[in-house]
Amino acid sequence: MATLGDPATLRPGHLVLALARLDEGGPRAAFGAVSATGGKWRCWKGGEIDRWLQSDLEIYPGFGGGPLVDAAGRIHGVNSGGLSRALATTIPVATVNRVMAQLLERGYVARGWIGAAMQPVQLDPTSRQRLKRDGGLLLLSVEPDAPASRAGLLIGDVIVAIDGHGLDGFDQLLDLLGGDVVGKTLRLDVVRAGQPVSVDVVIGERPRRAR
Amino acid sequence: MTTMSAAFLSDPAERLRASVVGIANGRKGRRAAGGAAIAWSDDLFVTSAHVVTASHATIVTPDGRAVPGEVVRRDAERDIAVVRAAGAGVPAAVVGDPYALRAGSLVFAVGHPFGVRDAVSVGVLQAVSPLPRGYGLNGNGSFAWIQADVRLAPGNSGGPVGDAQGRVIGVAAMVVSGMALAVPVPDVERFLSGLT
Repeated sequence: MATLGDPATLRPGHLVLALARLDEGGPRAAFGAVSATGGKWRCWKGGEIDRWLQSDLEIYPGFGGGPLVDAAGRIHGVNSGGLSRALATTIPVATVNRVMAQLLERGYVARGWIGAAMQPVQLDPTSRQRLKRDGGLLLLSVEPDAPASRAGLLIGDVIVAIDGHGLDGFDQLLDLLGGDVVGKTLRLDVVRAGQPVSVDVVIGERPRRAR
Repeated sequence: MTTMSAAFLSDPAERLRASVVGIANGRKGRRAAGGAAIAWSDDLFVTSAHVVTASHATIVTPDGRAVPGEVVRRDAERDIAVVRAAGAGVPAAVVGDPYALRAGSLVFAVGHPFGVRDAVSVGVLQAVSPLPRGYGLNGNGSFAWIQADVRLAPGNSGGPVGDAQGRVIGVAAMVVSGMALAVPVPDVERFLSGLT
């Protein structure tokens, strides 16, 4: 079995290889250096990736899905040519393990869902002063028979916090719903008609779209 | 794990660069060379067929002399050509065996990408074989090619791909799907057979 490395130990300038096997031939390698590293980020399709790891490797046809290997032969992740235009991006081992565990359990990655459309807004001055928060997410529509409607959320409600975490944009909401929250009850702090109320929502699972 | 020296490939690169010349189409020596060629013997230079499309070519030596030459053999399909130019005084390259290398071996290319003289680019060998499926190359894909993860640019054509010892293992021909392709040395020597 392959030896796994810790992508957090890779620094720009470290030598790395991308490996692949095309057709019936032997293994192939492309060679380069780590270009950039960093913390968590969200890719353009919305998935959370535990570390930023880019290299100047050329991801040739057939190299996507292959491992990124350091000079000692340790695997640091799975290479993708499709996540960024400029540089090869590697999905780090931690993300691969996390997604793999969910895939093995359910066959897909479950993501939290409340069944409402929202828009970031600024709070009215009174609420801003009272709650010490600037903004929240305004409910524009609530799907029938979904977690939000079952919890009694109404169009026009402004969600300002989930589970105590302040909310003024979609990123925080996606972070909260992206974790292991399906089936859990989360407390939402809401401003309804100018008054703060608390609503408990049982987080559902995002319906899977036909592919 | 071995520690890499800061000098890296500079010694083998210097040896190989001494045998690389510029080459231009026609009898009239132009200073700006269109591609590269490799000194194979006293008076024979190997290059890519697409670099020398006329009957004559001009060799531009590392010290800047223009030496007239004649295209004595040319195979457009294999993209290889031989130019005879006497009196160039360029040392012949040392020849290596691409089939002795494994995938991941260090290789480097010497050429004149975008007119930069004798530029070195470094990468690794991927395979010496016909091209994998999905790498388009009309018809010529069935030839054995050195496939390498090395950045080539216009101006590398006809120049060498060398191993870590500075021996020529192939003649840089083209880039397909981002991958560098070179004609393996055994095919070059077969192509040269009978010429002295």
